[in-house]
Amino acid sequence: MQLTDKLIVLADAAKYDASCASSGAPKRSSKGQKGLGATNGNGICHSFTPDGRCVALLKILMTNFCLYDCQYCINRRSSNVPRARFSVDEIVRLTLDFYRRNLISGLFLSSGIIRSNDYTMEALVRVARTLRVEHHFRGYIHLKTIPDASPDLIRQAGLHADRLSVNVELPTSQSLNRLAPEKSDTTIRHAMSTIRDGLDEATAEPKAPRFSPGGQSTQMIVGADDTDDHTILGNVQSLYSDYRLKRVYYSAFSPIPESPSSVPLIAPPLLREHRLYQADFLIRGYGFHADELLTGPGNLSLDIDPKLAWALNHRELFPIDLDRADMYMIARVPGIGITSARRIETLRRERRIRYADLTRLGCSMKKLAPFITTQDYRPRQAGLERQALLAQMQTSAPAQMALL
Amino acid sequence: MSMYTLHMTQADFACWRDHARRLLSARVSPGEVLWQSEASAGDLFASSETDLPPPSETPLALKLSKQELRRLECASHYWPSHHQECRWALLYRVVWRLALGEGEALLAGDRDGAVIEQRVKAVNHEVHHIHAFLRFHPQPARAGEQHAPEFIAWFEPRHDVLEAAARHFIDRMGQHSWLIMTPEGAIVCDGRQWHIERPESGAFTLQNYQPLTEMAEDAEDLWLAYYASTFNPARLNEKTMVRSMPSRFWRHMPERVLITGLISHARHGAQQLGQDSRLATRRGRTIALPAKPRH
Repeated sequence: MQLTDKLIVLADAAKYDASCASSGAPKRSSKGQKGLGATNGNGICHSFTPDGRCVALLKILMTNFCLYDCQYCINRRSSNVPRARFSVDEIVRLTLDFYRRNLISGLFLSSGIIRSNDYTMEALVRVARTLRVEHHFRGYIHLKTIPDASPDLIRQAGLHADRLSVNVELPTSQSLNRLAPEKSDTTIRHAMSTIRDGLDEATAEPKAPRFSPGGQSTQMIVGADDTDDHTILGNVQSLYSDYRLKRVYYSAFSPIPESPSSVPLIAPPLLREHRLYQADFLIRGYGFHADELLTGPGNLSLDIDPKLAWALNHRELFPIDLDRADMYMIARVPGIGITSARRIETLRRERRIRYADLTRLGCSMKKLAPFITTQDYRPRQAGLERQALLAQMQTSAPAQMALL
Repeated sequence: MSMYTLHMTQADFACWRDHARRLLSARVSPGEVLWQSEASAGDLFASSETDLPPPSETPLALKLSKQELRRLECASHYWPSHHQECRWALLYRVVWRLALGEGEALLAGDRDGAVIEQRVKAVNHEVHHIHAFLRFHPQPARAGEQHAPEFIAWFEPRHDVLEAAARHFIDRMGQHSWLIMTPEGAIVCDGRQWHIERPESGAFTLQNYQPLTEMAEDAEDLWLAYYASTFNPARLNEKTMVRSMPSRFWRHMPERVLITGLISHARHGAQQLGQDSRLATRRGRTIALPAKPRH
């Protein structure tokens, strides 16, 4: 098979993994040195495909041959797809060539399970080692970890990779048992603990060998089973606290060819995925607890974002006075992000806040209007009930109906 | 009230800073200064010979933190359009207000601070653009030309981002030699050192650049294969793509030739499945489990 053909097969096989982050790596430079590549902690999106997703890394599988039969996966062994396998040299050549042309900032390598877990994991590690040791490659490397691989191989992976990830795949262990019979929640979590321990060691001991400085992340597929957002966010919250995760990625399930009857054949739930990312962000960055965003079973509202939904359910806390309120509360106002909240706090040390300041800070005025007061502004809607206020806020342009 | 005209011979931040120091120590208010640089022609009310008054008995002076200084310098890299305020006048008004004790002048909620913030953001965004969307073209080694760069690129930035680009790419490219050409200047790097060359008059053009390139033939096939295959037609979302990658950059990106085709193909049927349609028609292969049961 030609290299181009392999690339088509193995990029197609890898694109269902949502992560494309190239951030969080330590500062590295190749200035005047043998080798290639630099990282400085920031990610770079080198291109965007028409699905709106960024291309930051060369995201490929080493091979899409796979012994597992995960129902949601295009590469499951019962799937009738063309199969291919890259050699180590081919991956190295592609990575370096694309990198020199400034098309990517590194490599995101994953693989189907061939022969055995350790055999597969070792092959992935060999690619990373070849890039780092033989070619002095200092760009970003993200390795997908095979959950059942031995801890020793995971440690070797952490030596070369900037980020490691193990996918939890599905929101609950019941769904995993049903749709991915060869995988187990226990071993997945075991691998995540091994990575967490490696991260802890590297932080605690300055002389410890380098270990995945960009941390670990995971991905869960949304919409392949019928788990609701309440359960998802609850599980995500404990994932963050148990495994020192940098990120949980949500991947709306895209229907696959020859779809098995166990998974839906419908368009990917993109808006739901978007709301989950928003809720996730509120949990990570704003100190929200999953239970605050969804108090009972069910899904996040698709009409309004989770922060606005929360604020509408807590009218008794608003409006707040921007000259007095805690920064923590200011950041909870819909339409005011954490950066703006910080800026408001700095500005009010100089003088009192005026309504027009918020426009200049780039806040979303329509959203924040009912929830704040300033010395020159008081919301007219203060007395409105939740429903009436919601109706008033939703008088935006009617959405165009989808074609077909 | 007399008007003082200051000529920015080198339109750079250090030059402005010297001027600003002298103006503050002479307590010249922003309204009394005309900044002349680049394209701005003469002003009727300005006499170009006006000397600055001697330092005032109560001179103003200002100590800025490193961070504040960096912020001002970054804002000075913004190229205003013709209806926007001259960058040096804006900067001077801000430091004047700061010197008078108006600490808010540099904060994003302030009238001037908001403009600074907007310019800093635009410059940083453009730095990010050149880091991301610039494309190097590898050059075949030419006999007898040892000094020809191995990689060359053309880019048309909206603001002054050459230095930021130079520092970024020298970290990335190791000992490779490269050349980045933009209308306002070129970064030349031999793999150890870099410097910026400015056009002798006017601007560099694509016509200056093109004769330097010698494209390798299969150069882009692999990248195009990857781009089309990593695209998921079931998630078509043009708006986000265009918002994140403004079309002014497409012209010099190889993937431009694929974009419209991928979109229309996804609209007309491929949208249901995520798989690349080139693969759908190909013979596939299911995998039998090995005879020995696995544990």
